[in-house]
Amino acid sequence: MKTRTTRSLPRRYVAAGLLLLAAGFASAGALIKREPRGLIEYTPPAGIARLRADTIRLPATASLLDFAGDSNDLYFVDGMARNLVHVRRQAAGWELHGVHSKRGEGPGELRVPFSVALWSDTIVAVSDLDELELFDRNGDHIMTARPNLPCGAGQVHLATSNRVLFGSANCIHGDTMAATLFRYIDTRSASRIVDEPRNSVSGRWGSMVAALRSIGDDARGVTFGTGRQPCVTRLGSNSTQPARECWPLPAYRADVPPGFTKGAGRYAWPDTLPYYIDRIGSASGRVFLLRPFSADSGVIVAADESGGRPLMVVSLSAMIGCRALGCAWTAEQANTTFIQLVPLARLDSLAAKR
Amino acid sequence: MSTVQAITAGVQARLIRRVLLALSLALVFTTPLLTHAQEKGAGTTYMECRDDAFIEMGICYLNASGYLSKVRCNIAFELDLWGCNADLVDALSPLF
Repeated sequence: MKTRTTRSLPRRYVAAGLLLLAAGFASAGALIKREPRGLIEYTPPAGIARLRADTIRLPATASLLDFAGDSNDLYFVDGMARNLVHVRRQAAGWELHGVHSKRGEGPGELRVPFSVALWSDTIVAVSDLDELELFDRNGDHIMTARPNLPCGAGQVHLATSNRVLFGSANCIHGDTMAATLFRYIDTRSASRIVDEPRNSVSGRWGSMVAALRSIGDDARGVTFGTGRQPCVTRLGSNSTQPARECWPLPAYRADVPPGFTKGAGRYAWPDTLPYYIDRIGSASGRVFLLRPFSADSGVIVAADESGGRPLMVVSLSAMIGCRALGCAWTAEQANTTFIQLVPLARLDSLAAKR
Repeated sequence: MSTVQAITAGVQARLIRRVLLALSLALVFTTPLLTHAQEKGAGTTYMECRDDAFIEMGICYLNASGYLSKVRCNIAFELDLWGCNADLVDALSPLF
């Protein structure tokens, strides 16, 4: 009996081991299946559209940080002159209409203007450190607001939808630096809606190489996300319930550009590039993502379940960003600033064709 | 050298090494942290320091064109901001 027992025990272990091995192969098979969605070096497909844009000419040099507007007027924040460049649509195209405000500490003057949004049909809001400077559409100063913001946020990006003003900024909670989305209730207060972790303060995870602004325009509300994950949070202008949308986007990698080191830490060049550095939602319901695939190039994709349809290869140099009207870049030549604007309607049209 | 003298010398050497290590760590950690606040002079409040860091970031953005330049500005700004944060320096002090 003892002999039989000692012989049968190893058989049981062998059987158990075979089962575990089988389970291991099964799980390994699952991992291998996921590999095609792993880290890849992206090469744009042949025949993809190159930047085709409307050109706006400004008869001066300008350092344009952000813009907002509608089909008639565009307002650009000029960080150099610290004013608002107002461009109006004319029969011949976009033309400079005026320059509003100036550098200074007084009412209506700008210290470090950072972002701009149309709060309503009549009010242009500019975030300036911890203040909001409000102007009418002709650039006349209405008031300076000092709203009580979540975690004392100061570097605020703005977006609006249906006359509701939203902001985003970075807040620190313990070891986590998180992007925070908030809604301005009035000129004195704002309410936090949702947070999304960006990186750890101690550098254990995450990278500063991420979306520069966490908030984006959306014809149906606002979009929010840091680009760390292939997801955005969408919030209707009148909704209090944010909805998260994710897509099976491949992760890209790229060589380390000069000035960055490779490795762990939030100041290092990440092994995985952010899934997007800007995004925009159209009235058709599509979300367009500006995806970097190298240090200086990106591709605009229409996010979908197929992993994102590439629409247009763009330069990340001199990029201003993507806002409600479209995506914009800037170029300087002989004391003249040229703004290249790819209208959102053009992206929608490209996406509909493909 | 007697056994007692040898132990005393060993303890002293260890102590000196620890003090030197603590001093070097303090130098490494506090120099970048304090630089920005020190530039602003004594009595600078955190908010003043933070505002100054924001302004410097804004100036950095003025000279920045493109995504990576702006990322670099954000990194410099964050480092500046840590330099303003006296609480962080205090929090690190017990480690030394």
